[in-house]
This record gives sequence, structure tokens and C-alpha cells, in this order.
Amino acid sequence: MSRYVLRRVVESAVTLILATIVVFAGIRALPGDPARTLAGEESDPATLAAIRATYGLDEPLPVQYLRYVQKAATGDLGRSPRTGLPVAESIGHALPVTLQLAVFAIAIAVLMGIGTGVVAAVRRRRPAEWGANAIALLGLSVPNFWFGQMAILALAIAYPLLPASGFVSVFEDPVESFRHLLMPATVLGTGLAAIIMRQTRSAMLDALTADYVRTARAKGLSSAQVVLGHALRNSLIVVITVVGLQLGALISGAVVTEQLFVLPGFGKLTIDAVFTRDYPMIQGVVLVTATAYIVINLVVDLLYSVIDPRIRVGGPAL
Amino acid sequence: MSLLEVQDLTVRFRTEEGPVLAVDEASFSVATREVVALVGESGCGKSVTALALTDLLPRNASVAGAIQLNGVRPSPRARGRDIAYIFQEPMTSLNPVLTVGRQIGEVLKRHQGASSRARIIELLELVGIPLPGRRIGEYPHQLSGGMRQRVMIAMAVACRPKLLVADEPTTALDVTVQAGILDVLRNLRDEIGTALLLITHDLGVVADIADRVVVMYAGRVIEQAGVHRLFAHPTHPYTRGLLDAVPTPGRPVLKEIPGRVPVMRATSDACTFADRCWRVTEQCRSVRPVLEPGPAGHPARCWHPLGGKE
Ligand SMILES: Nc1ncnc2c1ncn2[C@@H]1O[C@H](COP(=O)(O)OP(=O)(O)OP(=O)(O)O)[C@@H](O)[C@H]1O
Ligand code: SF4
Ligand SMILES: [Mg+2]
Repeated sequence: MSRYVLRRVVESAVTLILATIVVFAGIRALPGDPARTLAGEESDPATLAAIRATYGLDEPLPVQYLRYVQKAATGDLGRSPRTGLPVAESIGHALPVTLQLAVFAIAIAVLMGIGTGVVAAVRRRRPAEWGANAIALLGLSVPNFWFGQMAILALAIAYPLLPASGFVSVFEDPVESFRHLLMPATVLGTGLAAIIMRQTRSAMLDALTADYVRTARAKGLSSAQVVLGHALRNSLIVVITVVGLQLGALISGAVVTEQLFVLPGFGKLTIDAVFTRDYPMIQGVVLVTATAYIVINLVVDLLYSVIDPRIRVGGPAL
Repeated sequence: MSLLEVQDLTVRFRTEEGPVLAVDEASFSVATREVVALVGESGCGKSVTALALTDLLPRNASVAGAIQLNGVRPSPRARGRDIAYIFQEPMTSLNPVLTVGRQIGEVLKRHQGASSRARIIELLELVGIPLPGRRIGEYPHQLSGGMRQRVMIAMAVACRPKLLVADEPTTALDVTVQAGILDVLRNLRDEIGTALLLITHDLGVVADIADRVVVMYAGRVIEQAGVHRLFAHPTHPYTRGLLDAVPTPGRPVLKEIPGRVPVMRATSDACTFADRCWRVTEQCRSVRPVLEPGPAGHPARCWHPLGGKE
């Protein structure tokens, strides 16, 4: 067990180091003088000199890199010329918004996706399956921004039940946070829910005809125990893989959703940074995103090994 | 009185290629503590018969006939408690993501309300698993095929069922491992008084362990007798064919029965073995033979049984 975990952690650490090199090299690979790039086009020589000194741009690249890593590790990601604030501070404000949105969206997607997937598999060739399939098709084919706008029109304007915009942290006011995030998280989560539903359904259809499910039934277990305790338990391996693979899409989806619902999150921060060529901010955002991806992948793989003992305790896969 | 009584069991499947008549009015019984072997080639309806006993067939099956355990129709709750199963593939019949202990404990909890580590270890010992205290926390993939099959048996006998149905329990195992599993099955009768319905096409196994044999062909029971009598006086040409196909030291050349088991679509007014039988006559093709005592005294379903005046 610990060997597998150790290997994955080391792999993740190596990937993270590569990511910092890419981020570091990226800004230096831009055409022209990095100092000018960092400061903006119309800067006087004094500013440029100051920037060179601040960023150590007059030193050799490896030294610059190590300095950059050292700073990044202590949370110093530089200062945004646009806002005048430290990049780390802006990210620190934006990240919790996106994390809360994403966690909520994933929770909705997992609950809806697994629930409808199981129903569709168990109630095969019956109205419940057709209903679940129709919902999945809608979830996959309707674009987020359109669905989001319709949701705002219906639930915030026509029937003002939920706020159309803004963010409240779950740690400040759970109820208000729920009200503010319900719509955006649902909009963000439906695509993933549809994918999870389809994967759950097909994994469950396989599992339900598996020998071990016949054994479970022959043992006299209740239908719920057979379906949830045996068939679903095995199908979760597939579901976790899918969620892991789809997190990238979810994060891009978050950018659109945050724009739509005016949430001051990471997506909005990224878009603003890109449109204003706020390079230190872009650098910080990319680094944090890369780190997030690596950590998420690690977590998914470790979760995987919790669910599937064949990975955890070795031996041939069946 | 017999423990299990099966009367005119008929099982049909709806499939995309049309209906399949898998079991056609099969009747047989198993007495308390008796070991009955159900034999026949692949596709004769043995597994379907076994699964039909507790309504374990897939949804496309329709079952008719009477099944009684101690005089009453077994309820779904009888599964795993009164009638328990062991299947052919120990590799796939255990759940790969649950520990051995958990899978055994589940049965105990379900039928007896509680399970304990001590009881599970006791069961693992009963089926001859070494180091049960360690095995209890292991997953199926950590065990060998023979050990997995022992776990299946431990699970099946956890609630001391009256009848254990073993569907080709040794077919998927190495020859060396098979003997050990058969020993375990044989001992169960003495240790917990379980009757055994053993499905197999290995007549060596039958001779080894069974009291009585029921032979099936194309969904019908075609002969049944005590094991010695059946081996000494096979009455139905099909049974004879099966016995002739068994390799014996004195006879190096095997005599396989030519042809294969037909898939029956509907019940027919003929002997289902007619196309493969060397004794076939016009009568066999137009009138369905009945299961009645033949020359050797035990029932066989044949118009021209062996062992009579030739
Ligand atoms: N789920 C099913 N749907 C349709 N037909 C089935 C189904 N299960 C079994 N059958 C058919 O029923 C007949 C009997 O099958 P069964 O599995 O009982 O044979 P068997 O005697 O156990 O053979 P084997 O020795 O190969 O296990 C076969 O013709 C088979 O194709
Ligand atoms: S009834 Fe006729 S065809 Fe059928 S087994 Fe007997 S002799 Fe052969
Ligand atoms: Mg079979």
C-alpha cells in the first residue's frame, strides 16, 4: 500500500517541478524584454531598472529560476502592476470562491449522476431509464451559458427565488452561501452529471450481470444490498476515473459560469488577467492551476486505490 | 420424505433469436443428507435447473412447475439460508472489492442477525483454509483458485443450509486442487448434515462422491438411479454414451457421442436424443418417451432401453 502511495507522491512532486519550470520559462520565452513585458509597454527606464532589480532579471537563468521557486514556495508570487496588490493575495481571495463552487458542483454531479445512472441500469427498458437518458442527453447537449441564462431568467427574474449573482462563503453564512451557489453549481455540474450518469449506467449494467452479483443474490441479500453494496461498489471505480478525467472540463466550465453569475472567482481572475496582459497574475494563476491539477490527480488516484484493493495490495488485475 | 421435491419444472427463455426451452418438465428429488449428482453435457439445462430452485434466473426466464423444500415452496429468504450455492468460477464469483471476511459476514448478518470474527474464522477452518485469522482480511485476488472456492463454500454453509447446490465446483480448478475441494464437500454432510446437489459433467467425480445420479439431456431428465446401479446398468443410450466417453486405463480410444445437444425452442413429440441415437426408430421420432422403470428397475426415458432382451 505505502509503496503505491509513495510512488504517486514522488511522481506528483516531479510533475510539479516540471510545471514550475514551464511557468518560469513561459514568461521568459515571450518576445521582447521581460522587464518591459512585466511593466507594460510605456514605462520609463527607471521603472524598467526597478523591475529588473525586483525580479533579478540581470542574473543568470538558473539563479533566477531558483529564486522564483524559493519565492513561490513561500507564497510570494509577485505583485500585479494592474491592481498593485500581491498576486498571492488576489488568488487567495478568488480561489475559495472557485473551490466552493467546484465542490458544490461535483457533489451535485455525483449525486445526480450516480442516482440516475443506477436507476437507469436497474429499471432497464422501462420509463425510468428513458427519463434518465433524456436528462443525460439534455445535460450533455445544452451549453452551460445558455442553461445558466435560462436558469437566471426563470429562478431569479421570473420567479425571484434565488439571487442571480454574487458570492457568500459557506464559512460565513451556510444558508446564504447555498442560495447563492445553488444555481451556478447546478449549471456547472449538469454536464458532469450527465457523463457520470452514462458511465454509472453502463458500469452497473456490466456489474449486474457479473458472477459476483449472482453470488450476492444467491446469498439471499436484499436488492438494495445487491445493487448498492455489490454492483455499485464495483462501478464506483469507473465513476471515480471519469470524475478525475472530467475535472479539467469542470474547471474550464467554472470560468464561464463565474462570468455568468458574476462570481469573484479564479475564472474571473484569470480572464481579467489575460485581457489586461497582467503577466505576474497570469504566471501565478497558471502555477496555481497546474498545482491544483496535480493535486487533484493524486487525490483521485489515491481514492482509486481505496476503492479497488487490487491496486492497493497488488496482485493481478481481474 | 425427501428434502427437495421438484415436479415438472419447465423453464423458458425469451431471447432475440426466439424462445428457448431450457428445462422441459424435469422432476427429481433430493433426500436429507443425500448427495445427488446432476449430469449431462454442456447446454442440457443443469445450471438453469439449479438457479430455478430459488428463483435466481434472469428476467427473461419464465418458470413453471412445483419446487418444494420440506413440503413448502422456498421463499426468496430461503436463498443462502436453506438453499445455498457454489458456482463454477471462483475467480469471478467473489466480489473483488470486498474482503473475504466481509463477504462471509454478510450472509451471517442477513440470516442470523449478527456475525462475529470468531464465527467467520470457524467457517474458514471448516473448509480447510490455513491461517484463517489472516485470510479474513484479504481480498479474493490475494487467494489461489482453490482457496477462493473454499471461501465460496464457507460462505454457502455459513447458515447451515439444508441443501447445498454446487454447480461444477471443481471444473475451473487444477486437478490437484479438485480433490481437496471434493473432500471439503464430502465432509460437509457429516459435519453439518447438508444435502448436496452436485452439478458436473465429470463422471469420475460422480462415482467418487454421489449417492444418486440424475441424468439430463436437452432439458429433460432421461434417467435416474443410485450411483452403482447407474454405472453398472446404464439404461438410456445417452447415459451409456456418457459412460463410454469416460477415459479408462483399459480403453485408450474414447468414444464420443456424435453430434451435439440441440437447443430446444419448444417441447416436441419426439425423443430429443433421436438425432444422435444409434437405436432410433420411427416411434422415437413421433412419440415422446416417458420416464418409466427400465429393465434394470430404475427409471429411464427411452422406447428401446438397454439391458433388456436385445
Ligand atoms: N439467460 C439465458 N437466456 C437464454 N438462454 C439461456 C439462458 N441461460 C441458459 N440458456 C439456455 O438454456 C440451455 C441450458 O443452459 P444451462 O446453462 O442450464 O446448461 P448446462 O447444462 O448448465 O451447461 P454447462 O455444462 O455448459 O454449464 C442452453 O441452451 C442455454 O443456451
Ligand atoms: S427413445 Fe429412441 S431415440 Fe430416444 S434414446 Fe431411446 S432409442 Fe434412442
Ligand atoms: Mg452450467
